[in-house]
Amino acid sequence: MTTPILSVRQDRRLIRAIHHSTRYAIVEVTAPPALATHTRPKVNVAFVLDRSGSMSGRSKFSLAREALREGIDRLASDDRFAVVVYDNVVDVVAPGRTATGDAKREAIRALETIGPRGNTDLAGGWLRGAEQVAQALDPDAVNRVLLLTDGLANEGITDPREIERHARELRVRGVSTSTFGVGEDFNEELLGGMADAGGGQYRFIGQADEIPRLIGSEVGELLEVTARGAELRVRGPEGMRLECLSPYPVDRGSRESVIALGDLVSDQVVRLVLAFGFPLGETGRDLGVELSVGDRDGRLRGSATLTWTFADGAANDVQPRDREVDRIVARTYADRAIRAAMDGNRRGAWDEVRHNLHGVARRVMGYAGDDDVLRGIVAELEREADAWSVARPEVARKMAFAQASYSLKSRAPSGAAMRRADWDPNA
Amino acid sequence: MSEHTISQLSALSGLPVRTIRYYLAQGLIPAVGKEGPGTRYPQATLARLRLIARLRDAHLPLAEIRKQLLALSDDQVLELAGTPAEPEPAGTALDYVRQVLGGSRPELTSLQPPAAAPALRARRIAIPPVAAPAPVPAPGSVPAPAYGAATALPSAPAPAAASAPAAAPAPGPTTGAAPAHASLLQRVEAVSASDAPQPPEDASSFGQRSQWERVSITSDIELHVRRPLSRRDNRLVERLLAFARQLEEDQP
Repeated sequence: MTTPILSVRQDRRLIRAIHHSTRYAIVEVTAPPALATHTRPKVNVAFVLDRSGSMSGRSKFSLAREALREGIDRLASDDRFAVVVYDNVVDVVAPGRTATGDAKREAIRALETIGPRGNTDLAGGWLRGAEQVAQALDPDAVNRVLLLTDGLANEGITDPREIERHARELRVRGVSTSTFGVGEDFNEELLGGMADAGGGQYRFIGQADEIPRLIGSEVGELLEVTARGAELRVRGPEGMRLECLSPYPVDRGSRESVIALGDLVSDQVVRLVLAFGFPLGETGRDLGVELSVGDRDGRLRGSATLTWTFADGAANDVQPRDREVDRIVARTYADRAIRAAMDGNRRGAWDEVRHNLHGVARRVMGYAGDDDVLRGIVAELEREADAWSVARPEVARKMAFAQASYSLKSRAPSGAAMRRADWDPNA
Repeated sequence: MSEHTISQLSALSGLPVRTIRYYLAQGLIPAVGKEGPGTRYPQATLARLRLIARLRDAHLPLAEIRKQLLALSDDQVLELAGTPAEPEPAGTALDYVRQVLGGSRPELTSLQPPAAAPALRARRIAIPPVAAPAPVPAPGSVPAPAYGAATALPSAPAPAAASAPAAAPAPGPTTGAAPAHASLLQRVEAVSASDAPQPPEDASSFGQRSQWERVSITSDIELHVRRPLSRRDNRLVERLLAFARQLEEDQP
């Protein structure tokens, strides 16, 4: 049985004629498998490594170096790579070139002479890496920057929103960004935000010895991309509003919204939650949206329609609900709330944290009924409200943030992409 | 997908069924054999309805709309009503990075009112059933009032993108007939976009309306630059900024 590339479900079919309704839809996109008959797209990647003082602890830097060596080794000779290191100064250690045996050896040798040093111009380092990729931008390749840091952006461009904006601008110009945060001192909102805006993936590396494995996982994904620049387009009549609750960038054109899904790997499944807001209307009339997916190579193709019908309040109140959609929507709201609570916890804003988490719990309770999963989410949120309204160690915050982020982007607890074979739609 | 009943057409276009029936009766959209509740209309019909809606928003009389629409083939209609000619982002990734590394921050220093970023689009990709857009340099377009949520994006495309990144391969037939009809929509777009702000200029496009830009060196020192700049001048600016930064660092 073939899995459709695009499938959609809606929570309810009726909308209110005389009150503005909000309805939810789940969209699942399945990337095509890598076929033996297709060569994978070439890779044009820049590794950007933080070499600042803090990276010296527990041989972080040498593990990062090791991870890079392994990653570079896996590239084919017509892939391209570059290596940039930064502290308060940015060094292009290995300018972009094709991944021949000589190039690889020279890069590793150059890296061996680098040791940890000063402050951190994170944005500068990252942008230099982006420059290396951009100089050889290949419209048929996977063009990406991988940034590994254990620290902050405290030199050069330091405003996270500005950095994220640059990540977005680079993404729409063909260069994506993935980020890796090591330890406790980096800013996960920044790194998560850069990866979301940049069309890549954020990964949390709790212990330095996980560096090689997690970088390896990302490089593995670079080498398995089957749908580059995947997008979901949503098109509907005037008067409807769309919000994407999953953290993908939405580009709103005048007639449709385009949700950027990044580069998808072989058999990857991505699930998004969309919220639709409706205008008023006449009982019996229908409103609908068209959805379609595509990518840069034309391998990802699919379309679907969602329709709702205006009806009176009474009909709306008794209409059936797709409980599976309800559960996924509730999970999404829970993940978002937990992720947001980390900042409040760090600031010691206990009331704010409790208020927000209780608020989501109450709203889910409103439609939980006797559904076990939904009631379980309510209970979980109540526990989280207690757990995060007291001081907690930074590492706990980092872990909770990462887990919620992975869940929101259909990734396994390890941060790896979920594939069709592991996909449990009821998870 | 690609075929719709009349109630689906209504749902997707936002036009009431009775309006669609009226258009059928008036010949604005082609009938499909015997009319009935199960009659299915092709995607081109939905495209025509969308075009009609846009042209009506621009206050074109129905007779005029019919005249224009009847002259369009299904392919042309699909192209025009499909993804509008959304602008490629101004400049390549390399241009962008160099601008940022050079110290000029386009969005923050423009003298224009702080417009939202121009509607940035990833490269056009072929998504069934509508092909990539005809090359229509629409001078500006206003966002649909509500579709697209609270942050309405004033999408004012940069007309020329000489150094646009390598776009996806151009779609098949961009027929000679397209420009004439494209100009109809252009007129419509121009009318509705007359007060949309111009986007920041692409530095490599000449013959565009120029504007002055302030580049901060310190909180009390600025460099004024009239864009668009030639590549040579752009490099000069970058070097000036790098030098200024150096001088600042050398200060006691």
